[in-house]
Amino acid sequence: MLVTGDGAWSGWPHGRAHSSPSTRHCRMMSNMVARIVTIRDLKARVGNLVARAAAGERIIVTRYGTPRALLTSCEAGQPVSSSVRAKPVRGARDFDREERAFERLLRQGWLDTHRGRYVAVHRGAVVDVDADAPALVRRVGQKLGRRVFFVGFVGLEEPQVDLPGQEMR
Amino acid sequence: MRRSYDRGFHPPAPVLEATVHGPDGRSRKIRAKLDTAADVSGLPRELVDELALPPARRVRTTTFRGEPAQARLHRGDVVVAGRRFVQVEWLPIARPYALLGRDVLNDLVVRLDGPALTTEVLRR
Repeated sequence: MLVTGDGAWSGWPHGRAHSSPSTRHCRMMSNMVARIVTIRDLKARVGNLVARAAAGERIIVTRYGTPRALLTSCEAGQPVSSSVRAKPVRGARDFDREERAFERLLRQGWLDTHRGRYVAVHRGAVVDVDADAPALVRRVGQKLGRRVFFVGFVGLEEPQVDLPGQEMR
Repeated sequence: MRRSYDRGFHPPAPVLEATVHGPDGRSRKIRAKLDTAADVSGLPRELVDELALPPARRVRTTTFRGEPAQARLHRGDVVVAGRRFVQVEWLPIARPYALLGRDVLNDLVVRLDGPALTTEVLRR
């Protein structure tokens, strides 16, 4: 596990950005799939977040809304690839908010009865549950249309997926 | 429905025409290579943005180097061989064509004739 950071990045997420390599790295990481937490979150859940980072998740730590450090696994602590996104994804903010709601529900034990299954969270509440993630996305997606929701796995051993064309280099 | 392999790939690869639909009714046609090794399907990231496909979930995966990684999947309908697949999960990829994974292929009967370089989608 690796913590990096320089605290020298203004303009989160759209404003001016400095051009130091570490800053560029941090901004690129924020455009990749990454969890964003505050220092307060980090203090409260350090064990959980370190475990997530060690498992491959990239976690950006913010202070007063500005990214300050990147928490990631030692293996992943290397330059990011050219497949990183260049601009924010539409709906990403809502998606991140629903994901945070999922994490909160998970932390508070509200999802304990769904262990080993996927839950769909919309507007901070569970709207559907299924053991089959694509089926859940299909069902909830049909119901909610363009409205954003988050599907998360309840449990420690989330099944891995093989991605098309091994794009995650 | 029968279609020749795409000789733009080396070696030639089985492809189908796909029409991807966004949540606001817009759609785009794209050639899609069949990828039976992939659990989910892939779509050029520019198309994901253009059609404003909403994100749906993150998945845990392993890179080809064996490193753990995460990816965000988006969702959108696709029509392949006259069949509509609703709310398919798409991984944004850095390629100019789509990749159809087993999430779509497992609902199709496809005959690959390698020597003749043809792909045929059969009726069930």
